[in-house]
This record gives sequence, structure tokens and C-alpha cells, in this order.
Amino acid sequence: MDVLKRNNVRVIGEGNQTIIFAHGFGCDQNVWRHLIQAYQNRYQLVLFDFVGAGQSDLSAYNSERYQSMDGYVADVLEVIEALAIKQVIFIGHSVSCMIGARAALAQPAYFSDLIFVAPSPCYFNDGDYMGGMEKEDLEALFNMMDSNYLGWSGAMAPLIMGNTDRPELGGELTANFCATDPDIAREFARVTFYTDCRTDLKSLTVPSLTLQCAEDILAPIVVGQYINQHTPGNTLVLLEATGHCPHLSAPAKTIEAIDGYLTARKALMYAKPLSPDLIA
Amino acid sequence: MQNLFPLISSPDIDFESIYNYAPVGLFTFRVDGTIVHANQTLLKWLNADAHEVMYQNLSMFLDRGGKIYYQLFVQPILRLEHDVKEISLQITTDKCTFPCLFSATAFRQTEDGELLFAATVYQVSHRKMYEEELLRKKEKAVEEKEIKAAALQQVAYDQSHLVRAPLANILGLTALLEEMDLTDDVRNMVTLLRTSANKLDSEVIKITDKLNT
Repeated sequence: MDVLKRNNVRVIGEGNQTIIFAHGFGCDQNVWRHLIQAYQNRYQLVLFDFVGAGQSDLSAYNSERYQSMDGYVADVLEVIEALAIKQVIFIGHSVSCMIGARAALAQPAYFSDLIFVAPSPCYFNDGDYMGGMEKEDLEALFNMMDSNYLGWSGAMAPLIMGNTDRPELGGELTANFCATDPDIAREFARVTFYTDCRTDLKSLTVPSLTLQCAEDILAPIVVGQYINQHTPGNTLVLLEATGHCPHLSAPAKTIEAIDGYLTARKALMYAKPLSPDLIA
Repeated sequence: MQNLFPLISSPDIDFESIYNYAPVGLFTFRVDGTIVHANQTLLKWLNADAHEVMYQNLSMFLDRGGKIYYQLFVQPILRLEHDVKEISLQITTDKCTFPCLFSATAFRQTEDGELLFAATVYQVSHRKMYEEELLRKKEKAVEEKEIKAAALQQVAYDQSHLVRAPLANILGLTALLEEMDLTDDVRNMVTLLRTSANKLDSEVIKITDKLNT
């Protein structure tokens, strides 16, 4: 199994440190466009599609491996291993944040930092915890997905993978970066939205940043606060952005917040040998 | 050949009336979803006055699933591709509900003007009913196929257990017969009986194997 092909891995940019970008539910690695522009001259960037999304190898999808979040966590770890990269900055969006968190729990040494864009450890309301969604909401979303294939078709799918260089397919391919096999998308949604990761947070040893949007239907502000309070070494930044995709709706603010965090972290790292009590 | 269609020179066409009353909902919105213009047809379908629609976010008019879908799928495409086509949505407010197809494409009024989206909304109640009918039929077909497969499995099970049991008796008795003192004619018949019973048994096994795969 060629991991790099399976996950449609792209490595671009130049720098001493590597950032790996994990797209969220819905679209594919194309959503990182603005962040790529901002970081490709300073970092090595690794982009990939989860199996089932974008131009990943659909034939590599099997319901057994991906029936729990572990399959997606393994995808992330395997990509890092295949590229033999270390001390990676993980930037995940939406459901991928907790995939990154679990990957960092399994292999803390692989990661230097975790950056969560619009994360949630649990999407559903549960007692005092306000995740923001009810079970019916997800069913309603599934119905929407069933009536919108966004250009995906079973007949086209085999052509899409690995054929970006075929211009005659261009229109069909490029316009559909959110198009996904509906059966896979449904299973992906079920696994990622239903997994409750709240108890994982307290065990995280890798420092992390939470980017919380002001008005996000999938992650209310209290969710960002919850993550911040329950995760050791977490920094919370409230973005003046509405919606679930600040990296698309407010890229400048998102980049500014990430830069601010990374600069502070670097300063802290340099300060470490000089005065250990500063970081206590 | 005579032209069947009347020729109308452009000054006679009332574009504003066409814009307002064509049987399609037309509106303009900002990149964040704020509606800045809507035609009369859309207002009529929404059963709303202009002030109830203007400067509202378009996700206000979607059902809950639609709101989430818009955030997860439609917004990213609009932001990156500046164009979406034929998105099936359910318009739902306290005054109306109808299924529609939504398309939008970006434009600017001046070179450095604000990015706006021109959008169309088509009511598709009948098409939706047809789709639901198709979906229902597909689900029914799948269900029937499953029932049929289960019935075949049962048949296979019955065959292997019910049919092969008496066959085993026949084979056992044939073996006993063969040990007896028989004339050549009778022995030949018993041998033929055993061969045939064995063949029947292996055919039954073949059938059940086939049904089980």
C-alpha cells in the first residue's frame, strides 16, 4: 500500500519545520489554499486527503478500518512515517482536530504543536455540556448530502483519482473538490461526529492552540472554552470570524492568530535553556 | 419562411418586470451570506416583505440540515470557486416551506468593487416528489432483493439438511444390501442405485454451495 498515493499526499514549500494540514469533513486539501500561500516560503507543507475525500484512493476505503476514528488517526501517523518527518506542526480543521489530538496521544514525539481550527471534542449536547447539536441535526445533514452529490458520480469516481493532469476531465474534476462518495461521506460523518473525545483532552502532552469562531453552528463558543479548560498546554484564541471555516472566511485573521501562537512558542523554546522558571 | 415569433426591439422590453416577475427567485448576496437584493417572485414565494428579507443572512431561510450543509459544503465552494450550481435546499421559514435548487455565481459591479453573488432559486416541489418516488422504489427494490436472498439461503439450508438426511439412509441401506448374497443382476442394480444416490448427493451439495455464495 502506497500511503502517499492512498492519501493523495502533496509536499510543497521550504523550511526547517513541517506543517501537516488535515482537512475537515466536507471538502478536501484545497480548503487550505490561503494558508499554503502564507506558509510555503517558511515551512515545508504536507497536504493530504482522507481516504474517501478529494483525490484519495477510493479503493483503499474499507468500512472495517474506518469504522472508528482510529483508521483516520492511523492515516495521519502513516503519512508522517512515510515521509519520515519529525516534530510536525499539525493544523486540523473541524473533525480533524480530534483526529490530530488522538494521533498526538498515540505518538507524542511526532508532533511539536497541534493547531485546532474550529474544533469540538463532542458535537452533541450531553447534560451540562453544550456541544451544539442534537442527533436529528446529523440525520438532517445526511438527508441534505443524499440529495446533493455536488457533481460526484459513481461512474466518474475511478477517473478522478490521480488524473489531475488530464485536461479533458478538468472541468469535471476541479469544480468538485467537495464532491465525495456519499456512502463514504456518511460513514466518515458518523464516525467523526459521533466520537466523544472529551476524556482524551486531559492526557494531551503536545502544546496546542484552539481557534474558535465567534458564530459557528457546529462549535459554539463554550466548546472552545471547554477544550481550553480541559487540555493541558492549550491556548485559546477567539477569532472575529463567523461560520465554521475561518481559514476560508477570514484567512488573514486565522494566519495572524497562528503566527502569534507559533512566535510565542518559539520565544518560549529559546527562553528555556536561559531561565527555566520562566516557563513554569 | 415566415418568422413565427414576434420581433421586439429592445426598448419595448421591460427588463425590470422580467427581473421581478419571471418564475424564478433572483437575489444578490454578499460573500458572508447577507442578502442585499431580492426580486418580487422570491418575496412572493417567501411570503415576506422586502424588509423581512433584506440584510438578513440567507441561512436564516434554510432548515437546520440546510444550515449545517451550507456551512460545511456550500460556503467553501463559494469562497474558493465563486460558483455553485444546482444545490438542493429546503427553504423553511415560519411563513413558507418549499424545496428549491440554488445556484450562485460571483460578480463585481466595478473593478475594485465588493464581491457579490448573483443567485437563482427554482422551486422544485414536483421534481422532489419524483426523486423521492425513485428513492423509495430503489429502497424497496434493495429490500426485496435482501428478502429474496434470505429466502434462498433458507432453501439452501433446508436442502442440505432435509434432503441429504434421507439420501444418507438410502446410501447406508445400499451399502448393507451390497454385503448380502445377491445374484449378479441384483448386484448390478444395487451398484447402479448406489452410484445414482451418490450423484444425487453431490448435486445437492453443489446447489447448496452455489446458493450460499
